[in-house]
Amino acid sequence: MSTFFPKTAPPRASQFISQYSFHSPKQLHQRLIQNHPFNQRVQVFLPAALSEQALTTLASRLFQDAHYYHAHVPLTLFLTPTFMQHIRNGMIAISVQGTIDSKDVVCLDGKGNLILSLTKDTYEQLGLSGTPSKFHPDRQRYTVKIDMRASSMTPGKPGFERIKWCFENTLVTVFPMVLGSVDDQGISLPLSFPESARATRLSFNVQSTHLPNIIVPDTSAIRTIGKSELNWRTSVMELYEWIGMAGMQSDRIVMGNKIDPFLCVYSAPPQKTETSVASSGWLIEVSGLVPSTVISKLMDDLRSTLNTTCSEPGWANFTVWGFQDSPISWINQEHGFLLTGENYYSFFLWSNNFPCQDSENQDKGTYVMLESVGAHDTHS
Amino acid sequence: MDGSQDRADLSLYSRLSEDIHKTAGIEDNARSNLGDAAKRQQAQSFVPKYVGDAVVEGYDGGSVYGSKVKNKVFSLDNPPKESSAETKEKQKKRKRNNKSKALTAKEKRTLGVYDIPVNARKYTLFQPLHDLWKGYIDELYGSSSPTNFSQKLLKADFHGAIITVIRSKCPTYVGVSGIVAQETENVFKIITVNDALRVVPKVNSVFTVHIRNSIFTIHGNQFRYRASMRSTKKFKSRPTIDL
Repeated sequence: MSTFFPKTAPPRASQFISQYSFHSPKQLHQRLIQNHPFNQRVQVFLPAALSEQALTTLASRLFQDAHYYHAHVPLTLFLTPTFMQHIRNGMIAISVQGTIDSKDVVCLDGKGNLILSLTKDTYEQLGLSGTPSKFHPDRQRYTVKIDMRASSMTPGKPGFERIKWCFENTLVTVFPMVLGSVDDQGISLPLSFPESARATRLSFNVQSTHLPNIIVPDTSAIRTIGKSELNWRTSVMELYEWIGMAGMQSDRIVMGNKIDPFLCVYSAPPQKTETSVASSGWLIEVSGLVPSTVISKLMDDLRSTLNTTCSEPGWANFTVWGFQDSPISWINQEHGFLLTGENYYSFFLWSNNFPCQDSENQDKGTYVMLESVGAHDTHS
Repeated sequence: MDGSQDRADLSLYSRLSEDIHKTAGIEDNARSNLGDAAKRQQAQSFVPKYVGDAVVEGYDGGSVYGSKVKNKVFSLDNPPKESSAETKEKQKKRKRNNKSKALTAKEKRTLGVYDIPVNARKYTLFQPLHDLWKGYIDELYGSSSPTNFSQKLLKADFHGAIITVIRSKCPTYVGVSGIVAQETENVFKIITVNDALRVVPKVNSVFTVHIRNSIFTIHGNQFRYRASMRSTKKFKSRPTIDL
């Protein structure tokens, strides 16, 4: 009998928690949002206080005319002058047939880079030089990165012609992709595709759900780190667990839920009051190819909504999921699937009139940020 | 005999004993200062007599002397062999003489014998070679089936063929196409349509050749022999064709 002992340590997913402020000059939240190009789902959780009307305005303001496209695209399309212009304007695109670990995946990251994550077989036949993937030490996967904004990407120059030749002769696969382009204000720009691309125009799927009669925990405890960072981390993680429960509309957080401890030992994080009080919450979910500019707008809107429409202190949670099978998670950060391929970030934010426990730090713009990536991701 | 004095130190030429002197009737005149002619005469008179005495009974001494000894040259000593070092040098000389007809590989390299001169790297110059190759391969193809022909193709000559790299570990070789100007053990030298010489290693590359409406794939890793060696080589099927 033999036992399997792997030589190397098992790959680990990682989570990064940080507490920061909107008023900081570094604008860490902006950097985080802007550098995460491919977002497939946004979820906002708001506890009771907000009226339904405020919510609908929040959602519809951004998504009434927003759209993106699903199309079957050969790579040569990206080298046509119109699409070169779209790419320069920050178009994002990602192939959606999935399985990044075993198939070819291509994407446009919105900064003008065309990234091809290829299997060894495809790479050897392609004819464009790339780098071996970091997650496959046996060189079974390669990444080719083409800067479409470079001055050499002009028709007639040898580099451009070589890429064109390769896309016409060696990598002629037609990729099913989702594509989207927005301007600085987050308004979707129209794209026109040739007939053969079978393009369909899609709009975002916005859904708001009312969660009545749930136990909403107290979030003020995590606004300040306090003396013990470990305790703070634990309570942040507990709150995120709770948000996850709320996101899947679990029965475990409903008031008066009695479950056999043999089946589930989950208990909600503590509330302010001694005896648990039932309240309600709203869950807004947006899915589709959401560009980071839109996310950033949504974040700003959410903040102003919190500050204007709320008479009493309120808080919100704002979570964004990336595509599991994208070649990059954040800009220049290689991404793979392995077990889950998750890459998401989440914010806890509070309204300005939220009482500060810490007398020294009276910053009204404090937020808590969580970034989570799977094992195959270079983001850190 | 006359040298016996000079070479007294050599045991081979020691003086004859006294009784032989007597029986042979030799006068001890070695020390006498006789002239050459007289010495020769003496020897000549001595030899027939000595032979007549030495001959076994039943033979005629005079006739034996006449047929076997007279006017014959005998070497009294084994001639010294040439030293082995000398012979070696001679052999070396001979070898060098042979080699001097062909250049060594090193000399060829320095002289650039097989280099294709820059002004000869023209696609149009190689097109007749390609036409010639087409005729050759057509003859080789004959009426055989493509599967049978692939066996023949393995041993065929590729000088003049138009080959294309379809797959390579090094991406820059992918897509290189042209007429084979030279084939060595490890590389194909190709003249492209743009009149450029491209040297493509066979290792880690896959090539295609277009013959009579069919495309043949050549796995460079298994093709690494000189053209002359390849014609007699027995190819084995390999379990993997991965690069």
